[in-house]
Amino acid sequence: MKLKYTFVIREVVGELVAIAVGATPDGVGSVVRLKPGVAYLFQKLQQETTEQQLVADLQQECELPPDRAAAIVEKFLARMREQNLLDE
Amino acid sequence: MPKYAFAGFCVDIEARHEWLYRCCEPYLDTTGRAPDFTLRVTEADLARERAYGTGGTPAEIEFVATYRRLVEQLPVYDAMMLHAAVAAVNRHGVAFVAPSGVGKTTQLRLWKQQWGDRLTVVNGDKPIVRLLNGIPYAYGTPWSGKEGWNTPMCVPLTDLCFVERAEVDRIQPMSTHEALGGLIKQIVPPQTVACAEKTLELLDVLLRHCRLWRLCCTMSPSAAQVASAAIMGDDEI
Repeated sequence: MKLKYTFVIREVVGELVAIAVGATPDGVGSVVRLKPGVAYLFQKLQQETTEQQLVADLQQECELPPDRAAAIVEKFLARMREQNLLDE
Repeated sequence: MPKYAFAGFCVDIEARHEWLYRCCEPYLDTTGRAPDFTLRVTEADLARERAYGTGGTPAEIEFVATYRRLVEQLPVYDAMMLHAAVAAVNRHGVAFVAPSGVGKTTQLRLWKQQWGDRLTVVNGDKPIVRLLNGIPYAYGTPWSGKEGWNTPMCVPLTDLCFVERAEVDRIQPMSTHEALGGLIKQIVPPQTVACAEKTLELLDVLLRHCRLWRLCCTMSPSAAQVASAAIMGDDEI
């Protein structure tokens, strides 16, 4: 799985904002506000990956127990699917 | 080839339909300077426009596609199109920001009734916002919605007013955090990484520079009175 578009991430008025490159004019899901903890996962999804790999990456990055990392990834992916941002 | 001044840029247009030239006539650039952009819509652009759901005559589709060609290039020049209705009133440049159908045009109409000749509609729907020396300016363009309200002028953008429908008119300052959510829905999706980076920079400047308001309003004249009192302060009506 990976993100449908290439996203550029920048801080806007102190918040992390990701904007899609090449989205259609309706712009649905083309701009996403990211919580700092989620930005790491979002960045990882710019390349092809798997849910298991994301859990492993997050575990290593944040030194989290496996269950906690899996729960965060699951919630994050659900949000990405809800916004129709994933190619799977 | 006729040249036009849009947001201070000199733009060369090669149109298929005379109608495009007629719409742009108030914006003719007679300075003789070299063009910053040449706009020539291709068959692929027209096909893309139809795929996006743009309807109308071939001339109308060309009109929309031409603007898209322009605005997609703007961010790297510190400019972008904002889906908003902008009025110049005294020293203020007020942008009414909302999704289509919420009532930007109605608020603009109410403000026109209230302020009369002292208000000029810069652009009723799709102004270009350009950063010059760190200050955002809103520009009129011929692309300005169904009413075609536009004026070949610019105004420093001082206020962003996010419009919401309500039963009772009220206005209150908004935080940058709140306004960000409304503003990001009213921009044109960038087509290159460089434009995406610049678009986010422009949003940051706009939100830091302008006063931000949430206008919860009816469609009656009292909406303009309430909003004017807060935004325009002591300026006499």
